[in-house]
Amino acid sequence: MKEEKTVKELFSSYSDDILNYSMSLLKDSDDAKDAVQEVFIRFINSQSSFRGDCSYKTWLLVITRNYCYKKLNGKTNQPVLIDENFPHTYEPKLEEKITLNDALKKLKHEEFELIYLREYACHSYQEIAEILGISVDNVKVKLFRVREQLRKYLK
Amino acid sequence: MKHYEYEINLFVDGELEKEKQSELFEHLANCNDCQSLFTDTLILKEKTRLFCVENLNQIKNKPKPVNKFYKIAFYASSAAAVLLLFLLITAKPKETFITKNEVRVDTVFVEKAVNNEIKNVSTLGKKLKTINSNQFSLVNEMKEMKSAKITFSDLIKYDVGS
Ligand SMILES: [Zn+2]
Repeated sequence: MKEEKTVKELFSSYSDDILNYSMSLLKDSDDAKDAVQEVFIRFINSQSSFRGDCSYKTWLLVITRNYCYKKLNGKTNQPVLIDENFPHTYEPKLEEKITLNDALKKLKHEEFELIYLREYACHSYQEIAEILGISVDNVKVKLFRVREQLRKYLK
Repeated sequence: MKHYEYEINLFVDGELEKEKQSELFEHLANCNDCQSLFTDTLILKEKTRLFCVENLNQIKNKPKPVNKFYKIAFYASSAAAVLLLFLLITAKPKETFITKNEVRVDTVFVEKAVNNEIKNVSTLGKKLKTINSNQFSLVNEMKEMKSAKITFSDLIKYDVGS
């Protein structure tokens, strides 16, 4: 029963975070609600393998991410890629002005995810690194590069 | 002259080590490019955050065919599902409101840090005050964004369990 209470606490504390993260990736509220359930089922079933290397919240978000990417691509672990061609692909032509929001919509899942985790979910670099499974230095560089691209569309 | 693009990026996220902050501010006081970069980065942060808020609200608001069918039924036989069902019934998450006017952790942090720097370094302070009046259109821009009236669609209520 003790275990049950923990899960219950985790659910009331973090189901919103899981829902929002799923929604930011899956872009669908029903799919995101499903994700919350799936994540907790996975969590409950694998709870014994949690070694406490990171916080429960981070772990739940790692499960969330794996679930969502599997749903999106049929792959469990998606490397975080920043498209080298981004500036060329989306370089605004003089006649058509691309707004920041347009540029944000054109970001890849992996790029938008970084923005979401930092700006919306307010995770620290350390937490982002744990969720994405990359190093903190990597987070610094990737976030810097995404912002560098986006800054062009500010004006 | 070495510019501080990278450090600015870290600073606005609250991830720049204390020791390096004074160095950054010293540079900022003397470099117009980095001043505008600093301003732009803050505006970018706020705008991308607002985009995330609106994006999520749009997804939540998207009309759906009435189909309150829960996948949970498929798991009815597993112990995990029983526990989860129990959770959904008993542990309803608190109502969540997403508004444009949420307290902005980063913004507060940056404002504080800038103010501290102004207080701490007096000569630098004079220069930063000049930045404040000339360069920081940011403050006004942010005020504008913050005071935008919350419309009904900004205020979304959802509930996982129902
Ligand atoms: Zn500079």
